[in-house]
Amino acid sequence: MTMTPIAIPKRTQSARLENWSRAFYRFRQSWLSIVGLAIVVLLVVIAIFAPWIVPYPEHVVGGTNTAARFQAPSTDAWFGTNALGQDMFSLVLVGSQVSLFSGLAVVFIAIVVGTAVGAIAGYFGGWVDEVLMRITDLLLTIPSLILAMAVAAALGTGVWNMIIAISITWWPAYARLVRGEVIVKKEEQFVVAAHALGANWLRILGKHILPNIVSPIVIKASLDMGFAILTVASLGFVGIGVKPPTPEWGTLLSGARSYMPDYWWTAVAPGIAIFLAVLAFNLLGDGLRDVLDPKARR
Amino acid sequence: MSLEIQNVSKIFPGPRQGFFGRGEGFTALDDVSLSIRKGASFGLVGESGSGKTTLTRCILRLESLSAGNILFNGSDIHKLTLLQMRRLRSRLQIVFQDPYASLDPRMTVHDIVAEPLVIHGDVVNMTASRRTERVMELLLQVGLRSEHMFRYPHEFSGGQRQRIGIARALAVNPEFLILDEPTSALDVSVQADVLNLLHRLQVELGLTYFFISHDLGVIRYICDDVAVIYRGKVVEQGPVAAIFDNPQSDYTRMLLDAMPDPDPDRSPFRKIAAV
Repeated sequence: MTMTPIAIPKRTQSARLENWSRAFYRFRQSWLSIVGLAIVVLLVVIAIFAPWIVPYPEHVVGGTNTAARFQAPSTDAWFGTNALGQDMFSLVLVGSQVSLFSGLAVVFIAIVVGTAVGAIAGYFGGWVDEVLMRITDLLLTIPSLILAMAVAAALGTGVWNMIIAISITWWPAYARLVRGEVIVKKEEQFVVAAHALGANWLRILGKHILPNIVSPIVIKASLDMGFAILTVASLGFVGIGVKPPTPEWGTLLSGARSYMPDYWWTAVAPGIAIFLAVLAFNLLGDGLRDVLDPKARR
Repeated sequence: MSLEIQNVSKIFPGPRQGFFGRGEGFTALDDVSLSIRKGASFGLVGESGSGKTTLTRCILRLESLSAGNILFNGSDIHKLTLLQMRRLRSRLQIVFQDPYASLDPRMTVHDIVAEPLVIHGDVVNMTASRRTERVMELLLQVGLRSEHMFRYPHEFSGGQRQRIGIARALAVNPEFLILDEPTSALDVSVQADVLNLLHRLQVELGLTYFFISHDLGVIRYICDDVAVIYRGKVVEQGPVAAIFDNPQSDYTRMLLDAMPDPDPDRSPFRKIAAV
């Protein structure tokens, strides 16, 4: 038999592209998701470019102007000034950096640790599962903010210590989610097929099971982002976390507490920032859930 | 003999009772002995729940045995080391019943068919571009076209998916193929295509088939030998012609009687009109 050389087709991404456009269509069905996405994008842009767009960059690194303290919002200082005469607008804008970065880092670490623990527990079962899930249960029984405060107090203040402290309380939820999904997928026929082909456990988990459970993890992550930002702010508020002069929404709010209600703008500006960030990430998460998990729609 | 199943039993443990006790187990396979000749097609017939799929899982060592041995070319599958077992898996492949569930929805056809080549890379030893050529060969061999290569399973019909499953099974040049009801999830018209493909591949590649089905017509069409299994026990086994023409056990006779007759004049639906 003569074999003419066969032309290998180009690796087209058309199917994938089509899926993306279909996903975006479903996302657009709810205008709230679009609002969420818009605010999140805006927040990210602000966080990245904040040091260059703020009107008083010197206030952000600790500069003060006591002559202009407690000025009400005006065209000069949009959100007013605080007890040290610093421009609240500049502080809040730059404060988004710490909040967004910590929120992302917490969720990222939680996903990595939680997925590893949950996947191994769910895949192997037996005593491995028992040991790992009892540790997880134990961490879930402790109120997360209290544990985070204890850890942060033990490690000392600082952005990274705060991130580690929150992550420790955060990963068990992911471990549980992933374990459940892995147990379901483990029985799927294509996983059995991979077994029969001779694939080892790392390949089965990494190539067949995990790619098929990305959706619930992404949905949970986007819904969690808002809560992570809130937790970061809470730790800042109680004084563990980022130290001044680095601006952070929780810390700013805590500093404004003693000047309420006379100088309300010092509290309202960071408060609204926290509110907007949490709301936006929740709306985005809802939208993503509609796209990735259509069965859960109302 | 290619595959020897000797006195295999499989008892699934019963529900937990109290702290240490267990309820009575379920006997899925009871003293099953079969021998499958090299290059032949061996059919296994039985109703749902009779232990057909458990037997395939035991052969693939996805399930441990309660008693008995399974010998493949003389070596006991359940006594091999993990490395030896991995080597053996490249010679013993399976095509699953449900072509919708047995292909990973997140992988392209290329990646699905190439996977055994990657897993057995230490034996096969192919570069990525050589693997792609091999995938192409396989797709053409099972009657798919080259432009199907980078699509996802959901873009195919049931029959096409089953062809993908067959291509995956053939990738590492196995000598023995377990076909776990490969056509039962397909349309009747597509069933014939897939059966003819399987027959052609057997002739071309000299494969041994272990063909599981509950469709007696399919078994008669493709198999040389057949065994009838009922509630985990082999009721009868022998050459297809002998069993179909002269069944010895009541259960086999019952199965044969339940087979629809292709002659439309003898259809029960016609009776009323004829009167």
